[in-house]
Amino acid sequence: MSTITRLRRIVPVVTIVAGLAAVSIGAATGQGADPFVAGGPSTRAVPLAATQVDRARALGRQLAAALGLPGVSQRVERLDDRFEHRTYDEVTAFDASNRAVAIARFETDGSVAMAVVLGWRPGRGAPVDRASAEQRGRSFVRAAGLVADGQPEVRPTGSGGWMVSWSRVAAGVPIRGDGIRVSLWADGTFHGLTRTERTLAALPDRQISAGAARLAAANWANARFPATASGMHVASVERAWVAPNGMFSANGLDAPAETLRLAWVVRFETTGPLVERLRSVEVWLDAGDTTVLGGDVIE
Amino acid sequence: MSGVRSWRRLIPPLLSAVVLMAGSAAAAQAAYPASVDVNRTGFNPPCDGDANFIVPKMQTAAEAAYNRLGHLASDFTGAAFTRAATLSRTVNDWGYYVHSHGDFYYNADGRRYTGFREDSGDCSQAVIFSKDIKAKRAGRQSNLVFVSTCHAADSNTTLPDAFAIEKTKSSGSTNQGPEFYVGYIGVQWDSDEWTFEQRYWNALAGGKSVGAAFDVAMLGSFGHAGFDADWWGTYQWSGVAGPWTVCKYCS
Repeated sequence: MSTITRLRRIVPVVTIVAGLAAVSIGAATGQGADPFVAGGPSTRAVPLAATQVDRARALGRQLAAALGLPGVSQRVERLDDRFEHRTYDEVTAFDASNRAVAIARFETDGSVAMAVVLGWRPGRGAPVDRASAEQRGRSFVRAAGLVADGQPEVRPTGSGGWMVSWSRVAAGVPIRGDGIRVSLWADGTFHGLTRTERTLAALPDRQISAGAARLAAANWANARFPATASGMHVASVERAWVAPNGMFSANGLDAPAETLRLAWVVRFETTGPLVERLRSVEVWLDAGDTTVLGGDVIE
Repeated sequence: MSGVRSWRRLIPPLLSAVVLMAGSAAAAQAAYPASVDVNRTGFNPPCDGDANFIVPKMQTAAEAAYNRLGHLASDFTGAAFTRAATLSRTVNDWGYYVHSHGDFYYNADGRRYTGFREDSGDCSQAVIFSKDIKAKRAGRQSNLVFVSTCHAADSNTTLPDAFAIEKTKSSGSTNQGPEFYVGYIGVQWDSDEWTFEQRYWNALAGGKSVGAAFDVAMLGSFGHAGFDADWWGTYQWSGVAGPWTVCKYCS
């Protein structure tokens, strides 16, 4: 687990549009009135004024220069993403043959949400080691106008490159899925970057102990897995901010919830015949009252 | 009045055109079936005692995605997703999606192959080995194959070959035909798979190539740091069903 304490944006990538960055469009997102429904696309284009298109293009050009993204022309779309509960401007860059070669996404405040160089480019240089990957990851984060403090997690990816990740932390607890990740080709050149920073619920007034969470989870498992609970044992009990989901209930959440809650994450591992269907189970218990917020499984 | 008459005169040919277009679309879809096999029984009562409400979402999303790509997609779960049924259908499938328990299993021939478990509607679920699929398909071309199981894209996976998809990455001006294989590396959590898959299907629906959709999907908000996936095939292919006649994204 990385030990990142905070993430913050510095000036949006483009100082030239500092004034524009203050333009907050404030398009509402979320599942309240028009939730994402599985089977449909999760994004839809929303109208964008010409000035906003120009601003997005400028952001795209500035980021392309900072990260070395390819492309000679751009297309801009504002997308309302109901799966991720966010609205962003997507700038797709094309080469001279009109082939898409890079994508950048910007939050409506102008900060970088995502950037990726398209295509398979494993790199022509010599592979870099872990330390170099971390250093290059840091430099790309800075170049994108972002700040990630603390020690990142650096791991090799299955396709031969590196992933450098800074987990966002609040109240001393990691926020699952939030933070900054930079993916690198094997030779350390830039492949992709993403930043996620979601809304957190207020901390519960009182928090239950790890022991109480463990007991509540064991009771939950005994009730829900009466025939197989003997093949499950608790592997870890830790706090995390999680996006409630519909794993264990038909609660209508086709997408992870918009607001994250503080939870005790209790992970069970399985043994015996159960492993052939279910390798691990997590139950996420509200850190204040042990309500089941959701969970996860490895099948 | 004359305007109304003009419009009325146009109705029969317009209707004919609509019928013809619908007919040809249906014919095109029928030519490119895709199967969506989803193991729900193995992860629900009575097999593991609990209901998993994410898996049905994956099933719905995959079927819709294959239909959007021009396939005639059909989904199968419970007693309809058996080893025998899958191997019978695979001969005609151009697209294939499966969500189940997967691994690098020992076969009776003494060798190991990547495979996944059938559903079969009960808790005794046979493995469908890549060699079984390969024998049935006998080198037949595939389009998009998405294996939503653990270990499906490990470096030693044998599943792409079963679908005649070469384990190479073609990008830029090179291509290996209208084929693309996506799978997960190692063991992965369902919620991360669901996030990846929704991002992938959504990017395809937005007109991105199969490879660009993969790259966008990989930059999702995953709850577990070790999430990883891989692909083989033609990066810039649009994902549209069938053999290439004109490749919009290829030079």
